[in-house]
Amino acid sequence: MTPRERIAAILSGILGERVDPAREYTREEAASWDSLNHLRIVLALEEEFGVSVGAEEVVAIRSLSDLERIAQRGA
Amino acid sequence: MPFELVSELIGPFMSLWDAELVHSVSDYDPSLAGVLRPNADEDVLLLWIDWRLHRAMDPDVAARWVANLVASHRGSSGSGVPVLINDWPQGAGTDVPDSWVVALGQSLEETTKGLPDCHLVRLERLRKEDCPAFFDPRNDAVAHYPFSQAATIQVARHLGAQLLPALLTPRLKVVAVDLDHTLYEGVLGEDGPGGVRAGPGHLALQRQLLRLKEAGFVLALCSRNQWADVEGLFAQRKEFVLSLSDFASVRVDWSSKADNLRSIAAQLNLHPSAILFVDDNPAELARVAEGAPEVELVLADPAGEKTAAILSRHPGLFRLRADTTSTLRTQDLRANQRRDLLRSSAANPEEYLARLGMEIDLFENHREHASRIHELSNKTNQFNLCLARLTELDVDRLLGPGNLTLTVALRDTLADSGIVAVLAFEVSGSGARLIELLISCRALGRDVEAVAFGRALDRLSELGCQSLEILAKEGPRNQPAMEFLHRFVPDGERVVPVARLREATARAVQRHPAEVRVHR
Repeated sequence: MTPRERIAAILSGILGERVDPAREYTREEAASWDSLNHLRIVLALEEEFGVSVGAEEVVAIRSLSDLERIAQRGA
Repeated sequence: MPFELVSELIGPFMSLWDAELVHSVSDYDPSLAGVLRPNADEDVLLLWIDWRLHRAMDPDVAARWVANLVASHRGSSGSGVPVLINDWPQGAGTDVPDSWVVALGQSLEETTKGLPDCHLVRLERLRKEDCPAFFDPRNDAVAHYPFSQAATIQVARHLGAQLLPALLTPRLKVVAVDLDHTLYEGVLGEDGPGGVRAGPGHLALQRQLLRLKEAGFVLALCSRNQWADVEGLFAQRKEFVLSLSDFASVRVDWSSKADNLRSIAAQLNLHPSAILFVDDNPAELARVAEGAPEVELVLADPAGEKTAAILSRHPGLFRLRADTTSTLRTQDLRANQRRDLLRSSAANPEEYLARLGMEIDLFENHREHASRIHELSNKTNQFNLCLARLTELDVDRLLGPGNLTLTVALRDTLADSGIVAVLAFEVSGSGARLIELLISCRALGRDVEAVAFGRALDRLSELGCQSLEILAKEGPRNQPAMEFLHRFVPDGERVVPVARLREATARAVQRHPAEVRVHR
């Protein structure tokens, strides 16, 4: 699995809907991507990729690609 | 402030005591107006408050505001559901000064003390525990939730393994411990009283056991050793935190531990399921699991430290309020061993009771006994006729006008037992209803319950009651109470003439030698 696929799996698990890694996926298009799920996504990303997400980054995350960029730091 | 992050972690802790969390979360509502719904059927209501939103208020005003909300909700809805309210930890960020947080904590302590069945979730106390980082500003920025994941786990554990079992299923009463490789390192029979080693972990465990005793749990010793060695150990080892007198029941011999734990339960008049047993030997624990399957088991860490941590968090070993009778209880239970000797040396039961020199004090509607009534109602399993499990609100009502609630204090030549029994009646015209009749297991065997019941019936008669409705409820462990009822109501009627019951009890206790005093 590529990092992007792993992130898509994380998003699918938390948001309860299928997230296709082949295309962009944003917070605006996901009704269930609320602030609580946002925290869950960040925690899961940190655990999965062993990265630490800064406070400003957490607020700035808007999409699957944003998450992918952060995950690459743990590669 | 969102609670979901906590609630999704509570389940595993509740599964430790075979419970399941079913919960609902209200809408976000800082005014709390929509949280306190009428006709709610929850077991517990939690007010999960971000106190930073109320920092414009004086701390005392803020605490009284929430207390008044709870009180007025209860007044209007008649709800007796226990309420939990969180305090606030220092250092949670934003512009809330720590002095405000400290003052709020003190005010919440004071105001909730005056509210029956209202308890604090002490976040400030959790913050001071060993938590690497209690706050996470990222969570606060995204969801107005200032706590870290580690803190969230700590809060979930406190709720799921401590507060909720203490509120809903108080059951454990005794912590029984082994000696070798549990309270110290080494084998007493081989190393001798001076040769076994007590490291920091063992002393921490002994301190934790002492804390449990002070919180109201009974300590017992269950070890395969020579009694002389054990006496020598506690006499010689001055660094030990525990002394032999801290143990209400001691079984040091070569019998099986399962038999000895059953014998401890019998001596303390308890069901074996009220005992938690701590031992370092898995084979020994397996034998206890087979021979006394009701006993709860903990595998001890030979270094002691982990055992102390386990006991500090074990479900059922948390008390919501400080216990003021722990010393008295241990002395009374130890006296039960001497009472047994007295009983076996007496020519007959009458002589035994006479030699005890019992004094019974009956207190009528004494409001200062409210917390003891609540405690007894929720702890007593065997001699508990109605299993009413009174809430603090129920107790408040039963001590009020129109009801008769008797508390019974007992002392004899061997020990002061304190308040050991409760008889609570609703009185309405010429009828009364028995809501609660219970007696502490350590006071059984002296027919105190019959004496008190007789006096209560006399008082009901004075109040003009001609019939008594008995709300007896058979449970898994209250056979002694059901047998007591059968003694006076052999046909099992629910409504019984008071005059007939008075005659029956008077006959039963006419030669009871206790000196009885009534305090109105």
